Amino acid sequence: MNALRATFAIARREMRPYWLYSVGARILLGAALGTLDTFRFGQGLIVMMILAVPLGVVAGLEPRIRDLTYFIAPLYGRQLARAYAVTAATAAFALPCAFLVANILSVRVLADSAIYHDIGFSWTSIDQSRGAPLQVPTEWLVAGVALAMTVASVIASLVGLSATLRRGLARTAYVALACLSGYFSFLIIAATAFDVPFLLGAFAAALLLGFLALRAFGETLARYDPVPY
Amino acid sequence: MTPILRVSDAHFVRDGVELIAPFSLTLEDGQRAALTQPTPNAAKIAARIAAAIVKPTCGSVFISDFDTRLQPPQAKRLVGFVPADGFEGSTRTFARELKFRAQVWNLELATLERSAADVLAALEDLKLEYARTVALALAPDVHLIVLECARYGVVERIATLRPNAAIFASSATNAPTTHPPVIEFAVTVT
Repeated sequence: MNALRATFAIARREMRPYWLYSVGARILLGAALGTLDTFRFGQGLIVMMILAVPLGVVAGLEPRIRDLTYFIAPLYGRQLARAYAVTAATAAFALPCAFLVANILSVRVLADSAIYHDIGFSWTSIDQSRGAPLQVPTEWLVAGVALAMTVASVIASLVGLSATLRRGLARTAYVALACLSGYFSFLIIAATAFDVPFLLGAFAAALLLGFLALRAFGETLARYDPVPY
Repeated sequence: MTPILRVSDAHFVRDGVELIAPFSLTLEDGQRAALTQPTPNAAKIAARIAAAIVKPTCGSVFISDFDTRLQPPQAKRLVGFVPADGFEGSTRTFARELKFRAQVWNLELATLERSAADVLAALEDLKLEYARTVALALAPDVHLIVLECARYGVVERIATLRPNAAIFASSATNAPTTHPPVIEFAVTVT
């Protein structure tokens, strides 16, 4: 109970005005892209797919990890890591979720829009033995991509957290690794999208990646010495 | 009786440079010790080693029975750490900081607020920012108070406020002469 109370206290402390502005900007951008996609399929979606992961990494870089108050507190590294993860993941969620919500709402509003529904996209199931080609409605495709990007940006933010305690080349390498992890998570989810068992496996693999990144960050925090330079 | 602070041959090396030469000391309740370092950074590191915030490169530090390398949260719970910088923020920010500490330290907010108010009242002639820093450190019931780059006359004031707590203060030899570290060496530091 105490651990949870401390974790949420730190997360709340980190959700300072700067964090709120950052989340607000993500929500606005996501909403704009989601609405834009309703008028011309792909226009907002592709931009969101490109931006979600880097913005997820930025969300991981935002917490004030080196604040001495946290090192004075009687906490384990893993408790601190969890609190930072809550803050970073919440910010990382904002863009793809805002995109999805705006897209769903604007499609509902523009339900009669022939432009949107007559795009004519369809996909063939990976497993041809199952019979007829699988028709995927555009809304499902957009929702699926947005959900996959949500997972990807959260994974990127969790890996990106480890960059906060590094400097120079190591920091750049962690940022690059975080971007790669995010896009990799998206790709494995997208590649297995039409086969439920594989899709579940892909989600599990992405979550495992996030868990390992968080655990490694916790270990790094436990070993970190806040020494003045 | 277990000493509240036991430092054995602790030293600190960064990038191959020895920033803190090996030092040892033992402090019991109510005792005071000071460690002077050549630079403010070294003084800060020494204080952080004694407060379980920084792990020494070699040697060991025990706070009560807790090894600061293995059980830092348990050790930190017994320490009130006074950073060199004052608390910058409004009265509202200070109240929020107290609430935050009550949640993280798992203490009752009312007790913490009362304790901090008592400390602030006793230190009203100090600069408010620094008095708040001291109040935050002393608000929980601590057994060891560690001052990073201790300011003039503060150790005596804290000793009056918390006579049973042990006090460890670090200072730098190149500190401004207007703020000499006047600290009683109750314990020999080797």
